[in-house]
Amino acid sequence: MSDKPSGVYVYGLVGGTGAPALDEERGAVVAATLAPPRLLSCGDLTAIASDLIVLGDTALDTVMQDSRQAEALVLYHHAVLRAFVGEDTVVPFRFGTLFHDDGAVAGALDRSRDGLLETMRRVNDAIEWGVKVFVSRDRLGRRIEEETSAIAELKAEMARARKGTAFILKRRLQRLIEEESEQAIVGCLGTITDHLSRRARESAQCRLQPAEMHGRDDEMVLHMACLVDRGMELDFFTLIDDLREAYSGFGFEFDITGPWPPYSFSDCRLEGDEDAA
Amino acid sequence: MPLETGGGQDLALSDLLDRALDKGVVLWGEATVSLAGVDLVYVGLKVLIGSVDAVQRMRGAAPGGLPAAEADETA
Repeated sequence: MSDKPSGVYVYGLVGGTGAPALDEERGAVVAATLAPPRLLSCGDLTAIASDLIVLGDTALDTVMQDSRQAEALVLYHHAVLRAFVGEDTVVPFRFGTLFHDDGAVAGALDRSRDGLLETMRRVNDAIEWGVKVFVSRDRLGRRIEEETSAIAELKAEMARARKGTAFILKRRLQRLIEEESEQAIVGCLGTITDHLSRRARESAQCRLQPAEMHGRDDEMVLHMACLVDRGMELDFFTLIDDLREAYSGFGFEFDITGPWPPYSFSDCRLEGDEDAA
Repeated sequence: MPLETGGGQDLALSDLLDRALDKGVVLWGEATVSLAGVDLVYVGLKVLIGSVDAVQRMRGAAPGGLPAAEADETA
């Protein structure tokens, strides 16, 4: 079996030239191995790269289309960037950036230098944190029932009404609670988003996840990525705690994810080669 | 489906896939080896998110697991 490198895998760029302590173990799966990461300098840009070794006669596409093998490589991709982001500014590349050799990496970096430097400045000395906001519509509905005068009046009317009328009023009550809940959610999320945006250097909306992905009973109503200056994390967490305290009575819950390499703020496409289609 | 990482935070596979496979700098060019399978990988991985043992299996699938800087923080 051949163990010659099949290409040079690039995880992203790093601001400094120091490498964190990384395990000598490789990101290996059955048919492919990412060698321990090394730094590849190209002028004022430094890439974090590994040799990718595909064993034997296995085609690379075959490896990538095997979900279990691809999973392991995705996790290793993240683990490497995660180790670097603890120490320095990192510009993450999308999973799957692979070149023929070091010279091809250097050429591509050189040709996209301006865009890469701009991205590096954008995320300089900052870390991405994810904020997920969930709401329990039951808890919110109960709170609205307690506090809305129109609902209290409707309930009193129901208590006095005959059976047929009470049924109609009950339907109206349910609709009213749903409408009030929607308005409350929109209002609360506006305020929450505003607070988060003001505390972060930049913020971005992420895709809302369905229950089978986030695994909670409550509904996800907001998913944001926040680019937070390094050293300002405690302020950011304090803000989340304050928001949690202010909104928990309305059925809102907050989750923080991260620290992430600033994926959501390095979302650009660059042509690495002049002749590229 | 959390994977323990540093600082008591959980790394959800779905969060990682939404970032690592969907965001970040895309550097294309003639010298880039074609990874046309990436979209297929993403579909396959999405399906696996629902699998109970997916994360544990993923950990086991990478001998040596995560680099030390990450692994140390799981303690």
